[in-house]
Amino acid sequence: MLISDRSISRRSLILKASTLALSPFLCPQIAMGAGSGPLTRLIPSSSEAIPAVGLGSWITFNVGRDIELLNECTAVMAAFFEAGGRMIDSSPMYGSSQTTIGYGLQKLKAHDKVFSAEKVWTSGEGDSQMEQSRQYWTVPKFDLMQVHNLLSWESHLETLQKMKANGRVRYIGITTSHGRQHSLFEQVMKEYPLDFVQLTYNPINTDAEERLLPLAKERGIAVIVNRPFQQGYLTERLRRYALPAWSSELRVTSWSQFILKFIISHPAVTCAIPATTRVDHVLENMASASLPLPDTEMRSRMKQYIRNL
Amino acid sequence: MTEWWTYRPEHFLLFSERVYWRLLELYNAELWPWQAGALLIGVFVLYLSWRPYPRSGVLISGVMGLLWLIVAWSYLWSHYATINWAATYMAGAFVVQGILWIVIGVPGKRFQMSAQTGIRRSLGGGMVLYAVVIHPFAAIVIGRFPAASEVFGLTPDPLVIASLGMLVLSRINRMNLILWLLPCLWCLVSGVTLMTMGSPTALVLLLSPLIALVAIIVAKYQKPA
Repeated sequence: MLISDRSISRRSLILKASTLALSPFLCPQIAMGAGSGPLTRLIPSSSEAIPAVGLGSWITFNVGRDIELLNECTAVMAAFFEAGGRMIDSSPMYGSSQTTIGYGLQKLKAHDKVFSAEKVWTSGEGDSQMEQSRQYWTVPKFDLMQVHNLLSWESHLETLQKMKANGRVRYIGITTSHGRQHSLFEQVMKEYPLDFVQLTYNPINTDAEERLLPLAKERGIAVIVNRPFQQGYLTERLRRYALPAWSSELRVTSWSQFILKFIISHPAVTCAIPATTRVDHVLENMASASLPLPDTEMRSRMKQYIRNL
Repeated sequence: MTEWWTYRPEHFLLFSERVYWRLLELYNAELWPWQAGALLIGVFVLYLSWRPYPRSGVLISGVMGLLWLIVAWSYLWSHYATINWAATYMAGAFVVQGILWIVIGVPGKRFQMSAQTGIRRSLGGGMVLYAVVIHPFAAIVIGRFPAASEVFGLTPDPLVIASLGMLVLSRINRMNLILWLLPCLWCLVSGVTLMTMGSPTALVLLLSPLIALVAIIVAKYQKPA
């Protein structure tokens, strides 16, 4: 069983259209992008719609001052925006990724298109680092500021809450990766008014399914998923295997689309942020933000299939 | 670092292999033709370490100190730090090492070359020879020769390997023992970085401190009673 738009009869088309029109009401987390745009999800704290696939910048955008590579990254960003993408995520920890994004945004004049997701990552005072990051990005302010890997989370969350109250940032959140610190992460999710959490989730790393994803849904916190392809190791490992015949029901043409559809079909997930240096890959990733999405039964089958390979 | 046991070397790699080698290519292009001058200095240092005379230690210490300072500024601080924020700290460590070379070897004259024989001469001299003459050709292995060649005196890896070789060839005393620390640490850091990127040259870096230590230990036991 799929959440599908494959039906072709007039009656089913009408049904599909009315279902899609009503979908935000039937399932508040899901919305459709305008026109042929990507599938979007609603940020629970504001009901703002955001495309279900974003763009990460870990390693891929850390290219220093290499003009050729900076232009390649700009081409990736151009293709991402052209395909309807919005959220780009970075961190002061990611080398020159922030300046690369700033270079791309200026070159593409795309400041109005981006949903800027940044992090504060310091054991000291965060204000000057966040201001430095903003200048690197060349944006007037960040849409989302997250506490990176819970480093000095108590003091940073206090600062972020004040910044949000003063309108210096629209959303605030916390991040983790590789399945680390889930107990503390859960505690912070329960005790603080967060708009977003960011964590690792894919068909192999499913720890978040146990407590964090249900808690996010219960508390109305948007979820960003990092490391969807385990930094490329998962897709690299799967490359030698053919996609299962039944995956054609999902209209996927690659393992990356298979994995992304698995991730974004989780009812608590708002946006997955794969990173890439290639235009064809960013287009492939964005194409997975589309119906049909797998239902619970199909998701379980997908997970099991990959784990058995 | 929380849950430190879950970390693997690739979790610390901030850049891709392509970016790393392209950085070296751009660095070499910027510096050209200084590589030729650096090679001449390398040959001079190689000669001094192979056929020492009374003032060799002072000359080598001064030259090596300056080269460590140059690499700290020109490569680590000005280039490598653009893709690896940790390189700013590495640059600081290289400055300290450069100053130590100069302070210990020039006014202090506590770095003295000696006419080593046997395994210390072979392995120590071999390491300096490798660093100056052969290491630039290692770029062939990764298919980026000569653009991404790592030249002695301008990049950290050959400088560190040569430093270890010279320490093997020198008279060991309490003062210059401190000069061993950073080269050994760098070999570990750079070796693991290269290994994570799948570069075969990682083995050279990881083995260099071991070879140097083996040379010292074996030579110690080979000495006549």
